[in-house]
Amino acid sequence: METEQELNQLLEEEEDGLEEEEDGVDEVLVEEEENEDTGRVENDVTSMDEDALEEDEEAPTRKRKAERDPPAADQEKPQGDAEGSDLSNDEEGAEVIEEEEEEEEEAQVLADAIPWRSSAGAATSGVESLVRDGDLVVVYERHDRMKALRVTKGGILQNRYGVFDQGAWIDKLHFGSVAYAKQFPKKDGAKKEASKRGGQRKRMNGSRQDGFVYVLRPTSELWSLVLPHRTQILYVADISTVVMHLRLRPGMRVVESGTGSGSLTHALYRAVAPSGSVFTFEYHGVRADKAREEFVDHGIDLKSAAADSGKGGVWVEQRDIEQLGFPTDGELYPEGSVDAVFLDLPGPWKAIPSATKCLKVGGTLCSFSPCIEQVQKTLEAMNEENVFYRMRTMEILLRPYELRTEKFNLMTEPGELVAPRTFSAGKDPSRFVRQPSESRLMAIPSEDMRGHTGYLTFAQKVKFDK
Amino acid sequence: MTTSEGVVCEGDHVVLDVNNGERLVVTHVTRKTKVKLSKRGYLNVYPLLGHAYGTIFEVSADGKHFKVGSKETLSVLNGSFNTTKTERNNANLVDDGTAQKLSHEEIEKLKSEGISGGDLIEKLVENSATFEGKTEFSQEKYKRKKQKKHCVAFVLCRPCSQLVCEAYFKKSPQRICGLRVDTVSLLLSFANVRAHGRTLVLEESNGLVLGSVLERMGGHGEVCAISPYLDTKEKLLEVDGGANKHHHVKTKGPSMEIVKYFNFEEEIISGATFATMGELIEAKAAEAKAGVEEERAEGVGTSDRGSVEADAEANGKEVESSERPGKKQKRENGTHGDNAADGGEHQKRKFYFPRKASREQMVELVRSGFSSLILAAPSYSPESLIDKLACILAPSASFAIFSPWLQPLADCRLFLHKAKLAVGMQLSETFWREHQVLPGRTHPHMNMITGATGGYILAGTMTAEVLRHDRSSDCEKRAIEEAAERARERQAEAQAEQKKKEQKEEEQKEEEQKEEEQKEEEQKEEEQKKDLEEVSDVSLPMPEEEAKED
Repeated sequence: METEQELNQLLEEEEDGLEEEEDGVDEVLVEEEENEDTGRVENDVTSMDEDALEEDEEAPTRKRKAERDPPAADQEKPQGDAEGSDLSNDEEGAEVIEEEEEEEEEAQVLADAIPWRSSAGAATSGVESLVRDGDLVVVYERHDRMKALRVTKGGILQNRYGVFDQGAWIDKLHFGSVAYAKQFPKKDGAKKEASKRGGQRKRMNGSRQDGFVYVLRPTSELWSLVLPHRTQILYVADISTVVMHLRLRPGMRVVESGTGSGSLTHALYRAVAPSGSVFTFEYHGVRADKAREEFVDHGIDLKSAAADSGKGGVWVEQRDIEQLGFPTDGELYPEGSVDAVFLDLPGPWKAIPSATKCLKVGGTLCSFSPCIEQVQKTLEAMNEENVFYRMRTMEILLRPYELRTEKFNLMTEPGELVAPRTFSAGKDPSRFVRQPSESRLMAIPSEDMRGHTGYLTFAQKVKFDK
Repeated sequence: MTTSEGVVCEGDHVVLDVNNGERLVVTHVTRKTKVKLSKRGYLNVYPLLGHAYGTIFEVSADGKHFKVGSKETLSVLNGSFNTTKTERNNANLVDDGTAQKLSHEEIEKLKSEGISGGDLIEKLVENSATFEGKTEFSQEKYKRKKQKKHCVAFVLCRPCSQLVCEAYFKKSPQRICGLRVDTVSLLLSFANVRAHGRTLVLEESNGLVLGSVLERMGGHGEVCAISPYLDTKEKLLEVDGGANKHHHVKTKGPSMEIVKYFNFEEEIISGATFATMGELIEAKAAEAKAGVEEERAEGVGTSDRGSVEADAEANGKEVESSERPGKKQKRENGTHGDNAADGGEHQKRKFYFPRKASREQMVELVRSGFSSLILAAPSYSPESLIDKLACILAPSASFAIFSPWLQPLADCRLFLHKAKLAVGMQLSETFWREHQVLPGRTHPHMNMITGATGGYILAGTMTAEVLRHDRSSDCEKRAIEEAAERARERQAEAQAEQKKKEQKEEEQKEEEQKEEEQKEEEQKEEEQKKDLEEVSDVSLPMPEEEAKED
């Protein structure tokens, strides 16, 4: 779990002492799940949260005291600090509002394949690129620190770069803009950390520093980087290959199992939107519910499965596909009417017979498995069906590159002596030249390349002479 | 288009997937088209008419006819999955060409009698002296080999981005600038190409990327394909008053040849236009002059009469000013339609291509900017392209740039980073390979049919800096700057001349003064010398002075 790692990091960093508070601020919006997992951390986080909200002028000694006494700090209201208490109240309030909006969401004309925005904010601004009330945005701190959130009028975002007022973004900030913190926790350690990470605008007088973040419009790719992980997910290389080899185009009907964290589901729907639909099955009840919430929140849920109203969406259902197979009763979709089937199951071979029934002639099936033994069994099952053509198995990996500017030493002319590091007494420095060198920008494969994700097996269902 | 349950129409392009992907043949279904699928003969594809996509066909032994295949065709093709181990080995196997007892003539005879592929292979197996002694693995390999040689089967496929790309990549990768199918799919994903988006495409893959984008968007939203010329027709005409006959080269759209293979319906193409880079950027500059613009568009524009007419009229205008470009364009548009239009009773396929964007369309496109950008033009420096194009992108637009080389993308990334134009950038390459999966014989394919490399991709998200990064008025700015420079130079020259004059005058004065002074000095010196000579002979005169005196 990504967030768990963050918490671990947090714990480690806490030992550095100076960075405690700043990290605490960073984790204010940690999900409930994580808090359950690590109760101790939760307490610390909350206490530091309160501290962070206090005015910069607060005496450091008081903060220390509060930290040492976590349960008390939980209840303790910041004293004589109007702004601080306002912020914390706002934040709680914002969460409540957010939930209400999600419930109130109604069908709207799709502005985009995946609208990412709630209907509440739809009318507030004419300019497309402006952040609206209720928009889902991706807050970009660094390439590996991003976070999705719904913008709300009173919403407050806190991270290591400061305290951000979301209300100030609405109808003013373009997507892709820099958002500056309105308040930055004043602490030496925090400053040091923040400026080290680069998300800092320095003021020349050095009295205060404003942190900043970028506010980006979500895409399917960004979403797969920020989504709450409920399972292992597919990333862009596999996703794009699946979409391409399933030969998806708008209007198609796709069946998927399991839903998992919904990373692929978003991409599948993006490819078949607006009139196509994705039927996705997940055997884990809680995951299915969470996924459904997300699709509703993003405005891509299929309102009713049966009606072919021309408007598509994503349909989530809890169903154990390995046990029960895909539904072939025609309630969700007629038998033999599905353009593509995607399987990401521990035992995909069990789902092959029903998947074959769902598929239409010319439709494509794909199975994703991390182990080659799974692939073998799946291919055997597919072969037994004797309707699949061009069964192919492939793996695809993304090799990321980093950029570095390296300095190269150059050869000197004969007779030119390169100055040694240190001059011993009696040597004349004027007899030496400086080591000539040149700097070059170069790309080098990144260290953190994924070695394996899974094998993708594709096959096409064909039609015969009767 | 919404379901893939189509049948082949006359004039359609289809992809024939031969022998489990061994070959991919893209062909046009007309009366005359013939393709060579086996060594023996040319196959007339016209009878494919009316067949459903996804149907398997078996080519007859003479290679000239085909019929719909049966389950047996498929099982022969796919082979068996049951062989898992072997007790034998191939120690006694000698390859001297005498193992097969059936002669070439006999095989041909069997074929001409119309034997089915499966039966023929059985015959071959029966008459092979060494077959029984082979390991089970070798036996299967033998069958597969014979199957490929003697019975050709193919599946009729609807053309799609994946198949067209793979077909080209296998046959002539240079025509699609080495774009491998995984790279194309990543470009589409990274650039967030989707329905209801606005996509800007600059490519040199002869329409492969454009076709893929159009397929992905399915007629929802807008696509603009641009050619990388900064000149606009007006500017070129300004330069030489229409004397240059090759203006059309610089103002026409990019090559879109491959787009036709996708069989796009009219509604898929409806949102697609083409323009040159210069025209769009100019439209942006015009659009930026907000209030005035609307009146202007009304004045210039041919309004809502449909872009064909608008285009024709635009062409008409061109004819007036510079004969050729307009005519040629007209002819081009004409021929695309005519291809499919010659007579026939069957339902005919028409090919639709993106049309030239009208002025209003361009203004409309650049008003809110493109939300996706794909650059697949390896012959241009990506940073120079994106520097120019940034101003017509929407803030937070997703972009993906392809290059077969790493270094240009590295430079581009640095440029974007320094200009704060993009965040979340990722420079990557894909590693893609296929595996043979058979019980006991699973391994990656020996020959990298996927190619050694698919090229590199730089992807990321544009920041709102695009709103300020305006290169559209560069020309104007430059003109102003140049004018200012010239004025400055003139001033400087004038000043310099004045100064010179003054200096000269001063110099003259000074010279005069100096001369006077010198005279005085000389007089003085002479006097002094005389004095010195008179005073003492002992003083040490300098040698020069001595010489002078001499």
